Amino acid sequence: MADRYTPFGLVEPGDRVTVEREPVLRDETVVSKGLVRRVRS
Amino acid sequence: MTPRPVLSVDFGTTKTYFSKCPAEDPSPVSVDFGDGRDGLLTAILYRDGKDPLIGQTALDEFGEATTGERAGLRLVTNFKPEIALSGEARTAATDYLAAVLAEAGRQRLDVDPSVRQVLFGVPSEADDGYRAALKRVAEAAGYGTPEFVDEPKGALLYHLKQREISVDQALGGVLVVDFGGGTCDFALLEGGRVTHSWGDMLLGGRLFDDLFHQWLLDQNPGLEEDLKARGASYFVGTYLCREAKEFFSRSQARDRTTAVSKVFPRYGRFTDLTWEEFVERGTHYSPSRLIRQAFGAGAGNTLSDGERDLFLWFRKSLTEGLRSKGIANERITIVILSGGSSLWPFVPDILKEELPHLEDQAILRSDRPYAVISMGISVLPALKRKFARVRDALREELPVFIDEEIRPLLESRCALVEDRIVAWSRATIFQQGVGPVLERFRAKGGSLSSLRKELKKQVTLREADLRKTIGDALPLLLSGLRGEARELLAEWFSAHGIALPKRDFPLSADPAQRSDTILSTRAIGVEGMFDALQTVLGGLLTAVTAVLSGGAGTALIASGPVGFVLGGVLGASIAYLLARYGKEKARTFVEDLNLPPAVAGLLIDEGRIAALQEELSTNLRAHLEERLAPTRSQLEGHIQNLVLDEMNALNEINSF
Ligand SMILES: Nc1ncnc2c1ncn2[C@@H]1O[C@H](COP(=O)(O)OP(=O)(O)OP(=O)(O)O)[C@@H](O)[C@H]1O
Ligand SMILES: [Mg+2]
Repeated sequence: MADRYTPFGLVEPGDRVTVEREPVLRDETVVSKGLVRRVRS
Repeated sequence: MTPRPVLSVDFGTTKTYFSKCPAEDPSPVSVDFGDGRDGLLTAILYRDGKDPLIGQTALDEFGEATTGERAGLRLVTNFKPEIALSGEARTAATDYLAAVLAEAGRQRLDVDPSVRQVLFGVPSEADDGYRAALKRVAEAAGYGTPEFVDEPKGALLYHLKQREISVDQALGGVLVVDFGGGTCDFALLEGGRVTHSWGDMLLGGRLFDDLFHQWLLDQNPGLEEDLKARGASYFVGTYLCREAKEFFSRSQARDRTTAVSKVFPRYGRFTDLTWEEFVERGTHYSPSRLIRQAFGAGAGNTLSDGERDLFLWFRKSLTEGLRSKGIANERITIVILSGGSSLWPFVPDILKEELPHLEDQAILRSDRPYAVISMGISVLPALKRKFARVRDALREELPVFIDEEIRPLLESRCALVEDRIVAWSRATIFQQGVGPVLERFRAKGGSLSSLRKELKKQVTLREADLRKTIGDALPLLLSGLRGEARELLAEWFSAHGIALPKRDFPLSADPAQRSDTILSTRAIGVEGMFDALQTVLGGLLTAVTAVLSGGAGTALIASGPVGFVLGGVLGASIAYLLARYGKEKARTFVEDLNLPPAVAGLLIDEGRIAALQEELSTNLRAHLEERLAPTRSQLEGHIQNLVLDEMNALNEINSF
């Protein structure tokens, strides 16, 4: 996860997240990372 | 002690930037804490029972937290300006800076302060109280005892290192604008030292974030309530709107006629944002409740509601500062734009309007203007060492440079001028004037004294033309010379990794623009040229007279095919005259004799005419060379002084 997404705020192992932005990949390498936010109840 | 590599900290109100630089090599790098952006947000989030969070994560985590979660959280921001006044701010600053080192350790970033020289930037207005507090904070946070560098000086050093500013420019009047996320600061540096500084604690990029947030809500009715309900207000209002703002700003910097649209899946969209509407909104901006609350959190600074013109605000911060500090525009020779918000295209526009005497290239802005201060601070020790080395090298190489590069250049330039004048003199004075007169004398005969008069007339006749020719040829000495000498200097300097002084050569061919006279026509000594010409012509006549009156003359006349009879007469007469009246009278008599063509032709033959032409050229050249010598050494001196000034300037940088 960590190499493909940047967390918005703190995201710890086990947290449920929403994907705010998908990463951009070219030939399996990350051109720009995606963005995830923790789902808060 | 061997010099240590440097860790520099630009400890900002909104963001803090870290850079590293080797001890000897001025090539700084900004430390990236993993998010691909330079710097870390200056914020710390204390959490019950857990390590505090720092940077963007701290702010985002707090912004995203539900009311329930917030009970266990305490966010501290804007503590930097308060460290001298508040113990709480000092604690937050210490915890923050310590957490940065811990985070660097986790990320295996090599920033270890214990093996480095640590430099902290300080705002130019900072007093001793602030410095003392910062020293305590840095020590307590594990940075050892830091040294301080004025922040705006960092911006200057960065561009100096980039060779976008020459050393002499760096010592002139440099205005540094630092337009960041939270504040807008101005500083005037002279001789590399901050002589004036002022700023606005409220004007910063976040007001523009707010403008875009309001714009988004206006374009998407109902979105505000929707975001609130979904707990996304903070995320959209700070993060997405700042990104949209920067995207819009970058696209408008390229082309202000295209409209920008941006879709946020699930959070509305920006549709057709134009520069005109941006300007309209910025001119009538009212801070939202949200941003006024954010300001309220920082101590001391409150943003009142009500409309204000953001562009005028920036403009007035600049002009009123200049006015109240009594800084005349002309004192500013370079402007450096730093801070992320200086990327707005209106920023250089306003500076150009308010400082119209500056050329475009006098306004500098790097691609990452937010990072230049910390990078510039980190480069200081290495740059000083480098400049000291360069200064020593220049001193050592100067004589060789003058001998091997400049002198030959000046010689060839002077030769060009001499050639031009000599060639003109041959073509005009000799071939059109003196030559035909001599030919006519050969053909028609006449007295030597009238020949003398006629020759003198031929030379005097062309005096005005000669002056003009000299006037036209002299600029040849300078045209190209300035460019070529600059090129040689630039090559030499760039071999040492420094930029050529921007200060211009004090050389101009236009006498009206010059205070000195090294290149006036007077320098050539036109009168002297006439003397040189007359001397040669006079010499010719003297020789001819001597032939007529003396031993060789008798032989010539005796052996001459036509003049035999005449020779007898003349020979007798001259011998008589010599005996009777002495040498002087005899000469006058001879000069006044009306010589027949045959004798004239014999006296002034082709060989003599050719030799005369050569002699004229040589004499002229010798005269010109002699006259241009002081000019040449003066030019040499100018160039030498330029280098000496540069060495002094390099020395001065060493006291930065
Ligand atoms: N291309 C851009 N156009 C306009 N603003 C930009 C651009 N890029 C970044 N910014 C803004 O620059 C600001 C950050 O600049 P910087 O990092 O210099 O500030 P700072 O040092 O944290 O603030 P301060 O000096 O006020 O403490 C942010 O508001 C950011 O949105
Ligand atoms: Mg700053």
